[in-house]
Amino acid sequence: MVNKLNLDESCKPVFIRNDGDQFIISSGLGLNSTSEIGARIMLGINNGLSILEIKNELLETYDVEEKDLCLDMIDFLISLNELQIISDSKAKFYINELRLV
Amino acid sequence: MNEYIKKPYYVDLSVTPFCNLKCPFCSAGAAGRMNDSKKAPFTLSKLEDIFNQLDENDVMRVSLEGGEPFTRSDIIDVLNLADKHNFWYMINTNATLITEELAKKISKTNVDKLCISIDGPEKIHDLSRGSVGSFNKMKEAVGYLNKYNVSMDGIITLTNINIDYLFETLELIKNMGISNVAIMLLASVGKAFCNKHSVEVNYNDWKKVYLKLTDLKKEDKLPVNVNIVPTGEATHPWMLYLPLHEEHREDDLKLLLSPSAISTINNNRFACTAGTDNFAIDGYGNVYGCSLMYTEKDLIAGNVYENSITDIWNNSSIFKKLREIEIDDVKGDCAECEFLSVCRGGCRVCSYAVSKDLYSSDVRCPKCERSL
Repeated sequence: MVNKLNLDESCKPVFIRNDGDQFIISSGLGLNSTSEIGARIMLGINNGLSILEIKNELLETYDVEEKDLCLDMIDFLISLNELQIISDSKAKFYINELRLV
Repeated sequence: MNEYIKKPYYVDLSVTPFCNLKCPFCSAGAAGRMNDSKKAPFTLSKLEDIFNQLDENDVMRVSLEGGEPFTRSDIIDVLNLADKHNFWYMINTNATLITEELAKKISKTNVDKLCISIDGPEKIHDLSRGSVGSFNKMKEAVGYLNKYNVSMDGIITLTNINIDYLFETLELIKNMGISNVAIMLLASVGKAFCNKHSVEVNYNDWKKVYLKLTDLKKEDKLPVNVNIVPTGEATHPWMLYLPLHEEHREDDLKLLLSPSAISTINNNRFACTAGTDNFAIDGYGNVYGCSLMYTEKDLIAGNVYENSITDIWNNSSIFKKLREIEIDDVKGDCAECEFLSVCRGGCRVCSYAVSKDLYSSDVRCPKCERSL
């Protein structure tokens, strides 16, 4: 099933599909990632979770160090911003929260 | 069989095979006027059937193209139909038929963006598009689309006709209010194959332009966001890798490559993704691995008037063949090339157009001794 996500009203929607063994993420600029963590971040944002709530969910799911996860999440949020999927202000807000961890 | 996505993720759909222009490099070999075909263009009910099947297959992205989509008098009805479905869609157009009234109607649909062909300044664009006046019509349409806030990208098809005007064209596009540009590298198929001596870009000319583009990108001096779209959509295609390698600048590769580099195929496969995560439907309902195959009738995987899309995707012998090809199977100069594992073989249909063999080398590459 294709989920259409509107992460940010001022930006482009993205589409996520779960093919069982991988997530496929598509936006106006093509296929951007097959990252499961990336897909979970986008679904979390779309469902109105805070970035720290998303981080905690990911920590429960994956065996990763919190610091490493935050760095990965920041990289991913920067990519979302570059792809015009989330706005500058939203990206900065999330990234600042993660940097405080 | 090699790994492929169980369901296609994007589809190019030619809503009509007919076009009002005469581009000498048209990969679709678009027809100039209606013929006797009863299959073209698709009726709205047939399009609805196709859209339903795309939804059933969880297709995420659809590119509506032609021919020229706006030769359809019911194009707004087509967009309204597409709006009811789950996929994201865009339109590839020469924009010459878009009036202010149409622009206003387009703005009320959910189309994500229009990709407008802009090949150069007025005379170069008209030459490239085979029609005097096409530049001014396109420019007028861009004005209307801007007025109604329709999202647009520019597409430059790079040929021997316009390569000397590329940087002027980027400035021109910026001045038209468009901030994203895709530079499409020519595929030697369809009319481009027939006219290759007049349209194909010489490797050294391309290298010069590409290095300048890379330098400007590094210095943040490009007037617009530029994305280079190689034929074959390889991760490290030879046309992007080789010029940088020759100058010991491989690290610059990521500067102008699409962020959509795909990771759904294993490393021993050709970089070509035709029929592995996407397919294309021409204006007569024929299904191919990609839209560059439209003039290669031996590569038809099925037809939407005769088979379901699911059946074609799962059972087409052509698709199975495209999924089975591994780079170890390549014939000719590519087999001995030190860069084969990096570029993974180039565009399959460009090779096929020359040799009628999907396993042959991409002879457009300067590393191939055989030149055309």
